[in-house]
Amino acid sequence: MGELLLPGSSDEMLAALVRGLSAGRMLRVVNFHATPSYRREEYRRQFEAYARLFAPITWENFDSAFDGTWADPRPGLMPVLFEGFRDNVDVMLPILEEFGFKGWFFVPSAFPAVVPDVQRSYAKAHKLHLPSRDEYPGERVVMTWDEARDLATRGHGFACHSRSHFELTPGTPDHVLWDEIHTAANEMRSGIGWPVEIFCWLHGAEAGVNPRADAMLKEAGFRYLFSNFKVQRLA
Amino acid sequence: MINFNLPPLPEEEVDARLADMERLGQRDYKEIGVPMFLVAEDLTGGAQPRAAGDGSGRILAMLLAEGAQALRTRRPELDADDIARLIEALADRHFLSLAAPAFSRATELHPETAA
Repeated sequence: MGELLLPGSSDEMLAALVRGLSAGRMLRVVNFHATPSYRREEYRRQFEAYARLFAPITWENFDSAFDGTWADPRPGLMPVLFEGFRDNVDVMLPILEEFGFKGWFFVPSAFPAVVPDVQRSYAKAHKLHLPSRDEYPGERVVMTWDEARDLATRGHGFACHSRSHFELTPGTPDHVLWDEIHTAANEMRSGIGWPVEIFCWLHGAEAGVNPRADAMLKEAGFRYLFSNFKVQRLA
Repeated sequence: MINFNLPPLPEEEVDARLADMERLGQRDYKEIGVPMFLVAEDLTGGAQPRAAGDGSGRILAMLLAEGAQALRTRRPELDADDIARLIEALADRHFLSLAAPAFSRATELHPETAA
């Protein structure tokens, strides 16, 4: 850690979190990144347990986290898979679907188009951490847009994880913001086939860290911002 | 500074919680599933949400406040990383337990009623 930015003081953040939790306004998420096959049984056992306790969060019930209209007696669960790695499709997707959950794939929009030969180099340069053991030697390690479209049509969710796995700061210049937000939105729309409404920065900066970025996110059509501690409805 | 007015935790328990936070931080995040709680916040100025939930949110709020107070006895100025570690430890400990149904609603415990 050591890279998390807050828009205000730690006390203000703590107070906001205590208020939100007290009101029952929360999402239960499980964050994944790479999901290598040598951990398949571990993931499967976890989702077997989750299926006994949780209901899937889908696009249809996602908003209920904000308005308190969640209807299922079980709380909702949102499995979030960061980075768009190929093993999310090969290993995790069958497990999610076996137990009736929808995956939420947070993809840096430039990553799927990187040619396979340099995907590992791109990942290393952009803090996209591949698993300890390379399970696809000589092959691609990123999901393809064809795979992403297929997942989306099966009801799984997608979020834009910036364009290049970018870490927002208060001083990020506008031309960089434009690329990381607008270009990324266009690439996600082109890749998935429809607009993506969720955005998330590397290291999870929230609204207020950079107000110019917040305005641009809304301009680009993003409605939700996922951060380290919150999911914020922007529009 | 926020004063949550909770009775202090015993020193031993503070030590244990800090050790647990340290243990969790050593995990291989790049290939494991990490449960977390995210607070939902509406910045659109929309209608006030109605009260929701089974009380688990209030339990978590109290536990977070208690954890923050305990951590402040060792590090008076908490930063964002401290908050992240607190919530990570909360989720690790309570993600499953606070999702369990009420005793009377756990149908596997009351087969006759369910039938």
